[in-house]
Amino acid sequence: MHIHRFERFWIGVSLVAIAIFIATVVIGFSVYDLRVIGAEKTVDPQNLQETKFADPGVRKAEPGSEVDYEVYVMSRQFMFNPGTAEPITVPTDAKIRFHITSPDVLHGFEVVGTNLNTMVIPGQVATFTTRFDTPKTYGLLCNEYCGAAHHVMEGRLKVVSKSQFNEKQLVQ
Amino acid sequence: MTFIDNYPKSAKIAKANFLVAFIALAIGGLFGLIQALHRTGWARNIISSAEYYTMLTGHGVLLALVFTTFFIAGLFVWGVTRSLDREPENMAFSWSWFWIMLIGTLMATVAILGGFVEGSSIRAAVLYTFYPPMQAHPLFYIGAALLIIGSWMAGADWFRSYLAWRKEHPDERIPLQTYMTLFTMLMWYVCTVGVALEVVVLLIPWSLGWVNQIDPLLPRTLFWYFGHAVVYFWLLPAYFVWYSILPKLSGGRLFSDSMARIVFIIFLILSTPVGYHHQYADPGITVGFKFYAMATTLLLLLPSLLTLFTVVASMEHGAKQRGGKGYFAWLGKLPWGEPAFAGCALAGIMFAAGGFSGIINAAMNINILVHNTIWVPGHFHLTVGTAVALTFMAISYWLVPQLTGRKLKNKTLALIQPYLWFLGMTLMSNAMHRGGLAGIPRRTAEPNYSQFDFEAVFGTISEIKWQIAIGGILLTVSLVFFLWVIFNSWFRGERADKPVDDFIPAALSGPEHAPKILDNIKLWVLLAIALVLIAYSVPLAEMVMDGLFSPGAPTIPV
Amino acid sequence: MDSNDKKAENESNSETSPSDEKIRELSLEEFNPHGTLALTLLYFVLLLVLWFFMYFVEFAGHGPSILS
Ligand code: HEM
Ligand SMILES: [Cu+2]
Ligand SMILES: [Cu+2]
Repeated sequence: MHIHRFERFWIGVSLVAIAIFIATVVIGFSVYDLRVIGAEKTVDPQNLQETKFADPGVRKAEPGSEVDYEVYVMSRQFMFNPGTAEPITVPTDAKIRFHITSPDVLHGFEVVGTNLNTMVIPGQVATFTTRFDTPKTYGLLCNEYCGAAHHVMEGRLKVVSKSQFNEKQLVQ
Repeated sequence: MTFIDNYPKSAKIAKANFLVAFIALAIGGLFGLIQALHRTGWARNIISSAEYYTMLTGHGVLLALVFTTFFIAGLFVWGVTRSLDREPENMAFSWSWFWIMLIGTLMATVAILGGFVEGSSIRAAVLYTFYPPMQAHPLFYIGAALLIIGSWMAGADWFRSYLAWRKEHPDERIPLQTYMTLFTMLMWYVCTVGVALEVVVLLIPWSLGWVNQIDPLLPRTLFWYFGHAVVYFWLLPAYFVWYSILPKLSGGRLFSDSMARIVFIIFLILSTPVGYHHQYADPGITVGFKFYAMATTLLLLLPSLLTLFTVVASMEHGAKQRGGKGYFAWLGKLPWGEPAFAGCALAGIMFAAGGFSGIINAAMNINILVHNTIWVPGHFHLTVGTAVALTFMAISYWLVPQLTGRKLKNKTLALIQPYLWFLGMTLMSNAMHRGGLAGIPRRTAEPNYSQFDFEAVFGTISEIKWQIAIGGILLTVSLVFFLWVIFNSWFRGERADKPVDDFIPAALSGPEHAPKILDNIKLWVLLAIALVLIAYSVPLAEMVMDGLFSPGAPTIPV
Repeated sequence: MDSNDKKAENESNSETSPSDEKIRELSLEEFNPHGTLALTLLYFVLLLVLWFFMYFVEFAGHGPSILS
């Protein structure tokens, strides 16, 4: 086969570029601990009343758990519960695990201006862990089309400093 | 003598396909303008925000599925006919696939447009990805299935021509244009299996009410099994143009025929097992498979980077033959005053930019930063919306005269058109990318919220908005120019024996340098199937094992 | 298929302006795509710079993020 020497060189350069991209992601994943969500568990979207999603909100994690708080969020047409009517309130400097699902259609769960962003799929539980360093109130929005009023599906996520966090508000 | 004189039957069917494509482009483009104005708040009174989603479904389906598929069919009819020097084996068969595709398109379009009629039960505001459990009218799914079935038959038609040609030319290499057509269609067969199963086995029975629940993840995964390869189904015909016609328009010759073949092989093999890269943010897919998809996706950069080199080298060859010199000065010797050339070249430049945002999308964890934000439409208006659509428009200035036997009219308008598209897309797309980094979502009629404001990372939110609105207006003006030039030439152009210079010179390094194994179709198809099985058999089996329709979500008609 | 006489016929009546005309014929051996190599290498550098900026400044530099 005839491949010009410049083109041979370019093939080499291209492969190097590809290797660099993949390596960066691997480094980001392992060194910077920047993860994506995986397969946790499935639920029956027509029977959520038997799960913790029946009583959504922020809970103290079970003793011995690797995280400090668990947040259960129900996304439905066209609100987050909690999130829309009242903000999701979590403390700084704690490991927080979110669990999000939907009883109706696909939704998105995006914390605006952060790298917290996931699909919400009926039948699946989106689970991810994060921590917040500084107190701040973030916007929350649905970024997957979910019906005629999709554009009003929004809310807030309020991060308060650890000392001001009121554990009495937690779901028991 | 030009194409229509040598192959009148092929010219007729190619023209029919182009006609449907251009009508879809006109309607879809108008919808695009209204969306841009609605989203930015420049004009929220043309449609209601609930109707926005009906319109967005129309925009996605008419442009990404209908315009592309029909244009590609017309282009491939032209390419296969001229490169094999034979018309289709059986015209009745050829017209039957055209009509099946058209009927399917009309059914889906009626279902979508029904959403604008108050109280209509025929609706399909499910967007062009139609994720259940949102449910459209059955017409929508049946129409989509017919469009795909028709495209399968079109592919069969080209294989038939090839086999008939092969009988008469047992030892010749497959001519490049036919080669590219066949490999594109093979990839299309491999990937459309997913969406065909989704639509026929799951969605049609469900939309007819034979089952009353649906597992949302399984059809979504089947959709994306198809959904990435479909972007290569749009792109490879643009590559077909860049490899086989653009060198000639530049005044040169294709630099390397073997490289073109290798590139198409890589696309056939790698296009499908990457679908999970649209599901990085999905629960229910393991990180391991997401990683596998990322590695294969990034490997797919290789054929595009090879294309970049070969195509630019072919243009450089043209420029140097026209007296160009130096490292960069030769660029000035390219025929920037010819609409067909200028459009293809500008499309290529935009594709290079789209390539960058595509790498961000492809790279698993950083994808989360932009997932489902307006960054994503910013990206694919560079790729399918410009690299593909502008190449198709530009090459029409060269193809339509051959298909009609009439000269191009309004040359100045035709020349302004690609530059205007480029300008409009520069505005709209850069602003969409930056809007996405600020977190502004895609597919949202009114991205203004009562509980918070967006903060732009680069620029300001109001400047991003006006760039999107002005960009959309310029794009629409460009589109009007295109349609005017094409239809004016088509119906009122001056008849000529040779309306364009349609001679395509041989490649510099031709098929005689390409190893025979490149033409071994069976080998490459088997390899493609093997990689698909590795990527999909385990996850799909897991999703199916707990029941085809469970975990079942209730149906939500929209 | 394309033949040489077709080509000759073509060149005689194609409607190109004088400045567009081919002034020399470059064969495979004579042609080295220096300009292409320069352009593609520039693109390579641009891609990497933008990539590192996006990844480490825009993405990794701005939390909070999904952690293990
Ligand atoms: C006049 C030119 C165009 C304008 C003004 C335009 C405008 C837009 C806008 C503003 C959106 C975003 C809507 C949203 O996410 O809320 C969009 C989405 C889209 N556009 Fe375009 N567009 C144009 C041309 C094209 C072309 C030529 C193609 C493809 C061939 C295309 C394909 C798409 C697709 C596939 C979507 C996504 C639909 C979805 O999210 O369901 N557009 N367009
Ligand atoms: Cu939504
Ligand atoms: Cu993709």
